[in-house]
Amino acid sequence: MIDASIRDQAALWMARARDPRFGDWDALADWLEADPAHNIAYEDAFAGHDLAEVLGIAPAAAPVMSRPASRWRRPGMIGGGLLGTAAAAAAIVALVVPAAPLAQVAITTAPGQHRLISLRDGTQIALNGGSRLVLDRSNGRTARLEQGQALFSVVHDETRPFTVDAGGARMVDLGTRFDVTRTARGSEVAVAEGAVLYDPDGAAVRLGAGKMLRRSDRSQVVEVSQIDPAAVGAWRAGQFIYRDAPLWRVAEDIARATGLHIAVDPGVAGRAFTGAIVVPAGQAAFSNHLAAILNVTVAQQANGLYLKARAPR
Amino acid sequence: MGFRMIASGLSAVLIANRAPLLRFLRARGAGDDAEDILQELWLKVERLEAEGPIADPRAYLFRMADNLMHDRVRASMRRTNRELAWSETGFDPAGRDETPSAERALLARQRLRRVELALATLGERTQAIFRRFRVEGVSQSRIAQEEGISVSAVEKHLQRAYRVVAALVDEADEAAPQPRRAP
Repeated sequence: MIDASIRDQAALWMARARDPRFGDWDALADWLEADPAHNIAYEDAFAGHDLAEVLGIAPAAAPVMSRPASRWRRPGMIGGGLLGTAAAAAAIVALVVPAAPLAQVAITTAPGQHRLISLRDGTQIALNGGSRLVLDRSNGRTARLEQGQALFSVVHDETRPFTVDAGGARMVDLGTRFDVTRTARGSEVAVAEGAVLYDPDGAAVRLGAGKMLRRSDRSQVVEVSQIDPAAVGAWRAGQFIYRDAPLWRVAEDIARATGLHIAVDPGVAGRAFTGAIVVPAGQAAFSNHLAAILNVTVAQQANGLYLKARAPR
Repeated sequence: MGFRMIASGLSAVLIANRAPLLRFLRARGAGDDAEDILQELWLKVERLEAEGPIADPRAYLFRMADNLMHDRVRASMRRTNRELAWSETGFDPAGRDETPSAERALLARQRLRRVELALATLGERTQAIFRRFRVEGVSQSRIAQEEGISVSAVEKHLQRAYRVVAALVDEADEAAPQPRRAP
């Protein structure tokens, strides 16, 4: 048995260490070293941290509906898309939007639907299917992507930088065209032209054309990789181009573009895929193509497709 | 600007901090594997592509080490406990569980209800702060600014919330007949 005071201390250390700005790892090591029970309690708190991830996958329907003032402070609640179909998520959004308070405007798209939004300054935002973007009428230089994917073509203004928030990630444009995606597991930004400043108040990572940044919600670890600038925003033409992308991510893109519900077997979800996929207008034979391109078996389920490993011959 | 560096610089920071990182890994339960795990960390660092400037590379490495140890515990739990207790609820943020998706969605709903019920024992403000921190990934200092309270007050709210969610895991543990961890 681990006593309550150790559990209290472990909870405090967990709160500290999960802060993106935490730096006092030596003090944490001191505490962990003092008693082996400390690490066990710390791991339990870490498992609690993981467990609490479910808070992000669905709206807490009742309180959100009854307390409009707090609604906009919880973007993560509506995003996610881990549960149910994107259409169900859209239905929830539709209930909430008409009561939108004050200056916030939410724009949502159904899976398979694209929308082009032009702002007064000439900035254009192409919104992919299954997405939700919140704009602020009183400040035309900010946007928040709560779910899905958007391509920003920003008219640069030194004096009024354009800011995009996605999950816990913040980007400031430095004169540019860039793509932002809010996935079920984190946020991504890919730069086609110009440059973007990621996390301006903290890490201040400058991303030039051809750079892509991924931030995991769970670990908060940020990774930068290369991407073909021509591939950024190719989704607008129904094209998806990947280099070493995990299969779950490919499935998310296709679901967003087609409205198909696609589940991926955990056995293949992390498998890397490199190549291009063109989503056709007519979808009859699409699942056969998908099976061939991704080297998986595609099973039809009541609510969509299920991707799993091919049976060994 | 002096603190920005690229990933190849990260390897240098790792070398310079070898001893404190090993000490941290041991304190996190790595035991005799500490050297091997540091090697694993090294490989991960090498794989991170260059030109990703990191504000605080030392803290970044410790965070990676912390996550690595946590992943190991989870992986060993999956192996020993796959069919039991809370692993049975399909809980795995890494998405590697083997429960069919419809069932998983239902179980996630149930888990969500459990977490919400547990958090409901706390004040509204504590719950809101925890969601902002955990779900939206907002830093404590920003929450403190927004709420007009001190960072240590934010920390206290989060401590209470973490105590509650950790207890949920603990409960599930006690229901499992097998020990989870090697000593």
